[in-house]
Amino acid sequence: MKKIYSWIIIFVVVVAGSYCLYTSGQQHQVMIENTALEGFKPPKSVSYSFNNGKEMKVGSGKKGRAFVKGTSHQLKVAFKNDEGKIVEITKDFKAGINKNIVISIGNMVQNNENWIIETELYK
Amino acid sequence: MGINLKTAFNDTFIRVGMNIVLVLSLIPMIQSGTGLNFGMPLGVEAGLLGAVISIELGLTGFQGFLGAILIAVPFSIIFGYLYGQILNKVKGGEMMIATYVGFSSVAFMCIMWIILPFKRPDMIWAYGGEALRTTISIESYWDKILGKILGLFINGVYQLIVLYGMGNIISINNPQLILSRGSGVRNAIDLKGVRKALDNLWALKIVEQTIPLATFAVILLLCIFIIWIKKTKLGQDMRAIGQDMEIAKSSGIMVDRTRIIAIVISTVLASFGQIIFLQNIGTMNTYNSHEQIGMFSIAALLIGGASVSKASISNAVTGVILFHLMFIISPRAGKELIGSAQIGEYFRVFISYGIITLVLVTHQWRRDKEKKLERERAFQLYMSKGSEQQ
Repeated sequence: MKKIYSWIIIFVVVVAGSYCLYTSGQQHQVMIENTALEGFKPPKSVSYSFNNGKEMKVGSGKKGRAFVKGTSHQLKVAFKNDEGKIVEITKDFKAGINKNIVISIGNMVQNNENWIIETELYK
Repeated sequence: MGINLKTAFNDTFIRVGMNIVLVLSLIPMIQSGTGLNFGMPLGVEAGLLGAVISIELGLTGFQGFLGAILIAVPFSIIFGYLYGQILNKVKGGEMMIATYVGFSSVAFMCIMWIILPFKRPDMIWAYGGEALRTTISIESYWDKILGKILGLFINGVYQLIVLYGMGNIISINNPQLILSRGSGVRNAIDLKGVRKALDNLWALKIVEQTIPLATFAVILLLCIFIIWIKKTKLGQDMRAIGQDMEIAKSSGIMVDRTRIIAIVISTVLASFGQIIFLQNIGTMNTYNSHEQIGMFSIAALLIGGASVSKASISNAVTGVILFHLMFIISPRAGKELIGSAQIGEYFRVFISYGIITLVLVTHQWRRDKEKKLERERAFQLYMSKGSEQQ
């Protein structure tokens, strides 16, 4: 009986550990779209960073690509608006298991709900 | 010879960390009297499967490395169990000397081909090969060929799985893994997501040299595991079987079971070793790059002073250091002494396979001598009992 309990404990620990590895270690691709929308003219250059990491830039009408690991993330976006004022936006988001992320800067600025869209990991 | 000692030290240091676990994996099997693990590719393939599945799941960094280890464990246990079952059926010798003789002769003849002014080198090549084969009888090692055939068969099965099974039967969606036709894993896979995941986890920089402390901590843990298992009842049983299988059996030790456990441990450790090797290299060659890994690991262990029936951690560490120093020094020595770096390289290969051949021949010679002595003793005992009765 003791042996069975030991195996059950090992099994539970392995399953729980695997789940933790799966959620915390999975890499997700994040596409940042700096494209024109109705009522939004894309800025010349947008700098963005995830989880206070390396700053990257995406030009007007272009898409930027980055990779994040794990589920919970913070995105910081900064750009100069038409008036030359620096606009900074910080958003928290979650990347689901087996999902990639597409983020639209235009929708983010306009506070639209669909600023973030999840897509399949390998599609 | 103009060797940069700093570079030589750095290269050896990095390579020791890369390969030592593969060499350590040989120890449990040697202790249990199963000999040198020619089935190491099995464990390595389990490690490769773990790495492929870990990448498929999108795991990166240390989690990717741990994930690969975790996935490789069940595969290596299954492979090790099946391999153990088969080896239990061919007890007595699982190593195939003929293959090593063949390899050594090729390397030796490569040296000769360059040094001597042969007029018909193709004939000499064949002659050299034949000469070595007649020196060492293949017949007395027939069962060892089984081990090799098994290794080749399993390798074939592995290639069948990764080439046709993955994508068709086992769903693989990661475009970085799968071939463009939709089935089969790519020949080379970039592991940039897990590259140096363990090495960089905890590293120390001393005089431009980065010491991967985490890797060495894992190696230390595995060494402690091997020492610990030696001291357990299982370890004692392994040693007893390694010394004399018949006596071990008559004293109540479950020989087959203990041998299988030793083989499983070796296979699991080999899979760990391959994953540690891959995370350091950063690129995975899927199909046949691991075919020779068993040979190199065995050569390193034997160069370190181990024998077919006795091996220790110090043998593994010394062997890996010496083996890698040979990698660095041989081409340079060849260039300086004979004027060709290529000769030095062939010399290294010749020494590597030659030492395996030498150890195997010595082992067989010692075993034959012991058997002869036993027969003589039994005969004398029989004769003395006969004269007492008269």
